[in-house]
Amino acid sequence: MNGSNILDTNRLETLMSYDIMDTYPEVIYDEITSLAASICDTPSSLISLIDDKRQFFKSHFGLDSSGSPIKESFCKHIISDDIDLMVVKNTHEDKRFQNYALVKNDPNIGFYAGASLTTENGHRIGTLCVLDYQPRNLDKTQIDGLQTLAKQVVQLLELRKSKKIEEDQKIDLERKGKLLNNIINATGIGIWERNLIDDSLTLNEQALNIYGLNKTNLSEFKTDTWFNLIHKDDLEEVKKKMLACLSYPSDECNVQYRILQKRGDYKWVQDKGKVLQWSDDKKPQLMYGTVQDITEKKNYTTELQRVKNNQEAMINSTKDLMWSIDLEYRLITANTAYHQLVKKIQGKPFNEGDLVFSEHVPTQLTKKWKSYYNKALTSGAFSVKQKIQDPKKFWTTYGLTSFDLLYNKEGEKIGITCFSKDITSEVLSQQVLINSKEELQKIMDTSLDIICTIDEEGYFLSVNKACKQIWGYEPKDIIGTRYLELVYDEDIKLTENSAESVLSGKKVVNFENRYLHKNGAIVPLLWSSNWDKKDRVYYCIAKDNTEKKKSELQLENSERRYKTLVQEGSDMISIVDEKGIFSYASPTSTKILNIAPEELVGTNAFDHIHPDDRDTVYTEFIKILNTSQVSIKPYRSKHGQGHWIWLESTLTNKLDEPSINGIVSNCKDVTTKVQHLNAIEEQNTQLKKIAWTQSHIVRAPVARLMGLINLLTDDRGKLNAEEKEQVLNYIFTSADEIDHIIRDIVENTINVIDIEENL
Amino acid sequence: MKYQLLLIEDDPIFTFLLEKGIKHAELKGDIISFSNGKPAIEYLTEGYSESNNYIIFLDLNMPIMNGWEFMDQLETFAKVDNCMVFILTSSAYRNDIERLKKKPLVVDFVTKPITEYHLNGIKETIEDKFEKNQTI
Repeated sequence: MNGSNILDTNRLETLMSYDIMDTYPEVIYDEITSLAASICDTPSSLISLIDDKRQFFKSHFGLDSSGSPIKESFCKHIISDDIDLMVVKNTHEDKRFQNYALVKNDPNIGFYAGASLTTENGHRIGTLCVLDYQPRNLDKTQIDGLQTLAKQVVQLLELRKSKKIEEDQKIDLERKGKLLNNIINATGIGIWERNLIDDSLTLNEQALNIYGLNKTNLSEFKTDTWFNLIHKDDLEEVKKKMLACLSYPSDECNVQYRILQKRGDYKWVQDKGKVLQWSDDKKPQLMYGTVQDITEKKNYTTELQRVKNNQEAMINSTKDLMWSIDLEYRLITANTAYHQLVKKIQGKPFNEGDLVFSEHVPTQLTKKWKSYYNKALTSGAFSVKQKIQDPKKFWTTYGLTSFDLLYNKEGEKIGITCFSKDITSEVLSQQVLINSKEELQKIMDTSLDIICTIDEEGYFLSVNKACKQIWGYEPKDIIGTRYLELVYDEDIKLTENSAESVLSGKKVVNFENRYLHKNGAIVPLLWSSNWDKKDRVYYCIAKDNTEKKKSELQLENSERRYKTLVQEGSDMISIVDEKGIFSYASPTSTKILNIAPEELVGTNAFDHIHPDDRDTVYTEFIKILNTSQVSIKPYRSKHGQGHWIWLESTLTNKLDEPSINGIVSNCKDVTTKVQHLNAIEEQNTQLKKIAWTQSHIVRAPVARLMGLINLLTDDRGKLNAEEKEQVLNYIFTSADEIDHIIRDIVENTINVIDIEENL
Repeated sequence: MKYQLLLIEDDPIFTFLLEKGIKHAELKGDIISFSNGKPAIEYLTEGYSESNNYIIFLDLNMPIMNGWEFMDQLETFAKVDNCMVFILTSSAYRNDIERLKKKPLVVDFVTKPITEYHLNGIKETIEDKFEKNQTI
């Protein structure tokens, strides 16, 4: 394979591995070329190394050249022809070389003999060659010598190479050693070596610092000394780990513990170690390891744990539900409230990794939740409000559930976090608010009175629909205008004064003024106004006072009528207090009692009553305090002229009526009536007498007669003659008696009739 | 047991008629007549005995002591067990006898004139009370 051997990369790599190309001449190689020239009796000898482009002469004895391009190389033929030895007796006669510059011109090389430099792995990397100016030949001894020397060159190159490797390794080792030191220094890791045979410890600087020990008394630092410095809470763990580590075969052990410092505080350290040397009977001999100060890390972890615990406590103490699920709807984690709810529903909580759909809820509900989760997964965070009607209870609750996506450190979607909150009270209060707003709006809309707000300057800010009815303007016409523009001219001053007093904090009610209706009519209004300091507006209600004004007029009229009736009537009307003192008497008192009202007022009514009737009247009078009306039977009252007249009163309790505040007495003169009654009563007595007479006096003789007649008719012979005569006498007596009685009756009756005629 | 029939009546004709009637009706006992309440109450106050049965016919309107006054006094000592009072009235006008109705001693009211029919009824009432030993 002519030529291809030269470019064989394996060959080239082998060549390069000796790291010889372009190096300075070395005595040992020059001595070999000198020896080769001497053996072969040639003026020149070269060690030629050939790469893919040129030949480099590591040594050139008798030729002033350190190399040449590969084109004019003799040696390359040894490689390309893959031969151990090439001898060219006459270069001028060999077609391969006769045109070479070195052959044709100075130094006119006529002879060449080269031996292959063959490496241990079989690659030919160059030659050891000899040159002469005249054609000639070498004998066998010379050729053997040349080949032996060529082998020697390869040996030298190998030696050189291995020496180089050794040096490189040494440099590398030093470098690595330095690196390790740097790392140890930079990381602050301490290194220790524990000799378990004599219980001694070797520490590097860092380890000494970390443990807080001195190098000087380290020899006295035994395992027990070490144990004594360890925090009692950690000692057991350390001993356990240590024992495990010292029992063959053992893995690396790793333990964290607190170690006492000179100042009395503890430092958290982490020891990692391994037994690396065991005795033949499996006893540990040497142990190596590292130590790190993890106080800060430990403090940080403790703080982290504390924060985490606090957060967990908060999360678990809330009644709101919190849970997170993975992409397959399996529970990642949940707070206590969620677990409790699930337990209530299905008797046991979900375990982490369970599907968060319970068989104990309707399919529809599960479907709904699945759709929520899917929505969160596809379109991100959102919240949903739910109305929950529990048929077992009889109320409705509202929940607000927020969904958000859960990402891992790499920012990949790994699940959904859910947060559900009972917002019943919020919703209810919102509803109440809405309802009351609606109610207010209804009140505003349906109010017949004007309800409005007016700003400081007197401009309408709002007004309800009632203004259309009362003023003839739509609310939109009113809002933004000054209220004074609507006030009737004559009332402007009055209105301004009232507004001023409202502004000063006074609440004005029943302020009356007049407004002008759109159609020009005057509208009397009744205002209640209040200035709200905070809102800086007047809150006003205006009532259409037209009807009231009308009724006031009516009242006035009826009062007048009433007064006329009282004053012109025949009854005496008076007002007395609880004790009977007159506070008012109608003018009719003059007519009835012949006493002027002015004379009566201030006197006690009972002083005017007949002493015999006073108690009876008083008994009736006090009843009025507990009832609304009492009628008093006729009693005698003193007439102005000194005689007694009969009065009949009706009392009406008006003590609670502010306008009267007393007992109204309606008196009628019943003197005539009483006289009539007395006459009737007398007549009755007479009539009774007649009746009595009839029943007793008349009936007695009649009864006698009946008895006697009965005796006679029912005789049956029981009576003797004498008795019969007696009976007859009795009959006569009785008849006579009847005659007398009848005459008496007639007389009495005439008397009664006479009385009647006298009246 | 001894029966006494006391007739208290101011009208002699009524007394006569009553005596005859009692005889005809064959009521047991001795008849004693009084012209008003006074002699009657005196008689009873002196001789009242629990071993006697008293049947009293009492008129109301009498001079000296009327029927009501007599009843007021009789009540103070007479026992229902051995005493029966029949009130004699002259008319159906009963207003003034209402208060007598409630007295336990008063057994009945009889409107004058008293007849044999009345007395037969009274006889039965008396026998019911005293002969058959029944309480009314």
